[in-house]
Amino acid sequence: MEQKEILLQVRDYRVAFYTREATVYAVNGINYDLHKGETLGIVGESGSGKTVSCMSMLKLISMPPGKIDSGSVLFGGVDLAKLKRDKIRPYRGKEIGVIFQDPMTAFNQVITIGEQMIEGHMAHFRSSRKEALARALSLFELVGIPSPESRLKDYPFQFSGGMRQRAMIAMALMCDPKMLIADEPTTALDVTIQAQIVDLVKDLRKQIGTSIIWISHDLGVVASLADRVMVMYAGYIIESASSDDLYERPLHPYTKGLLESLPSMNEDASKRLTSIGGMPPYMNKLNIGCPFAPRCKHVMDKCLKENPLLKPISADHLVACFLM
Amino acid sequence: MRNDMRTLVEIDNLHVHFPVTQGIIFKKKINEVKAVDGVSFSIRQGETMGLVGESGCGKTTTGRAILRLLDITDGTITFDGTDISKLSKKEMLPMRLRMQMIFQDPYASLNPRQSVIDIISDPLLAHRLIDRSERKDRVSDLMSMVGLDPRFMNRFPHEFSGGQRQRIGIARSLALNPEFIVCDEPIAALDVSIQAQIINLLQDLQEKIGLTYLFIAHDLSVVRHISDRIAVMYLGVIVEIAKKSALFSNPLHPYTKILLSAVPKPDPKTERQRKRIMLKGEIPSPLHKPKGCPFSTRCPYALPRCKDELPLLRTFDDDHQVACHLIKES
Repeated sequence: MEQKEILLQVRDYRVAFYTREATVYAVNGINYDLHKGETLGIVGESGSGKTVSCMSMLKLISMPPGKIDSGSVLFGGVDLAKLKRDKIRPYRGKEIGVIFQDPMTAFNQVITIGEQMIEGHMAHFRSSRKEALARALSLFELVGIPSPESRLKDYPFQFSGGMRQRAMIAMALMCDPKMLIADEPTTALDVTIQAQIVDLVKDLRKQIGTSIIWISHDLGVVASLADRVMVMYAGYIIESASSDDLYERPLHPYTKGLLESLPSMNEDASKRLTSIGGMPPYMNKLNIGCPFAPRCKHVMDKCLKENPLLKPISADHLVACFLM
Repeated sequence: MRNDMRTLVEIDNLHVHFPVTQGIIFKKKINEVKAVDGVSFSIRQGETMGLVGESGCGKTTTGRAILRLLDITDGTITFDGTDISKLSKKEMLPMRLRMQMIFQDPYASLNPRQSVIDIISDPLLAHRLIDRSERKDRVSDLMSMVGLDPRFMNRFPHEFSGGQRQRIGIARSLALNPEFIVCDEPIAALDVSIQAQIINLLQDLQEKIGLTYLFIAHDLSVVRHISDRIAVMYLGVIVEIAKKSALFSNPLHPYTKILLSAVPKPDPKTERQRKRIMLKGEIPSPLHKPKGCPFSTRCPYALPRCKDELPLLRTFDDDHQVACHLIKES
């Protein structure tokens, strides 16, 4: 891949939740760059820290109990991690747009979609209702919502799941953000609708060229969309590579296990699935060794004593494993 | 799968309609949702029948109706030669011993106030199959069978992970030693690495005790893995039934074709080259069903005839049934 301008630079980023019962270490020192126009897929199971690592950048997690412990998130020369709550507002929605997972609950049920669409635009740009509504209308057309003018006056419950997710995408694009965070945007949808939404996002990406962080637990969806994929486990990035590389030559035992545990649509379906034994760890203490060691087939003594760092294996393929 | 196997469950022209009412006192019926609208299929002993479709197509309603957990509007359900569709609640009781269900959401389907031993032994005590003194041994057997440590039997559901909770649900459904289990999306709520564990467990149990499954899911790759035959549902009707090899290598119904092409594959190279048949629009409301073929409003190949005339399920070579006007006998 040619060298492109870096839009977002995350360094040694740590987030933990301090509650009365326990401390949960959700994100444990992650490093990555997001380039301009790039789509980065973040894959992991529930609780792996994929959502927290992104939402906490915009302080969209409850703080307290959540707290950014260390690290920096450089976005256009500004460290978002150091910003106070009120100083982050100009970034929310305007510089960085968010598409939330569940289109059923992310909207306010008692306000029309149109009103919700224009709110951010009017606040960020001090635009008039008319201007904002015109923008909303053009975006509704862009994302392919039929009869957009009348649909803007509808309430969320009048939209179907797929249409609501289209409206959500349109809303995220209202202020023409440089970057989009898409948090499992197709998980709540049926496969045929999911295919429609994925196609829409591919189209939009071509037209407006925003960078996208696409969070998902579905390796299949990410494969079709992402330029680069990061796999997270227990708050660590354990592997990062171009999507071609990652799916063709997965190196970390966890990534391999994930790919093998998927029932294949091509191969002999009668063979037994390879499963990863055990279950994801509770993250109430920091690991001394590799976080995956208790479930790993190739575990060595060293893995229990020392946490492997994310190291480059080739130019664009990084793995955190002592086997490499 | 051999064809000469005995039919265990036979569903004939099943209808489940839900009334839409208006008013509080008289509840005047103003419309009805035909969630299941004339479904017929049979399940052979020892096989896994997959039932796939998108949300709202009636697959869960079908599964629940077969177990008589819902009132049936019309049609017959024959279980091992007995018509169970008209049995009273009391008459149904002994039949319930033979058929059980695994629910979708392992968080909602276990009572949070009951310990695991209570949850698993509940069906045994309800049917008076054991007395309280034997219960520890039975539960302990069942827990080992599904890969749970029996020492945890006094714990409560919240102390277990999602995958473990699903195992508790499976142990409960096995308690009565049933022949037939309806699995309603048993892995949809689980993480990817745990899904494979549960699928393997279900397959092992089937081999060991000769269970028959109706496996309801929306994930085609999972259904392909576990099923012997697959039925595809759309808007309350079955549009195609076939052996899994035939369904995946030679899907006949346009909806099945589209559904198959919509599944994303974990392989960026083939994904890029793949040509998708895109489905326009969304599933119509079951309140306003199209008059003819339910799929005619979205079908890219729809003929004028499809809008007026409901296609019936017709059998083609070797167990392959399709409901579509476009398919000609070969």
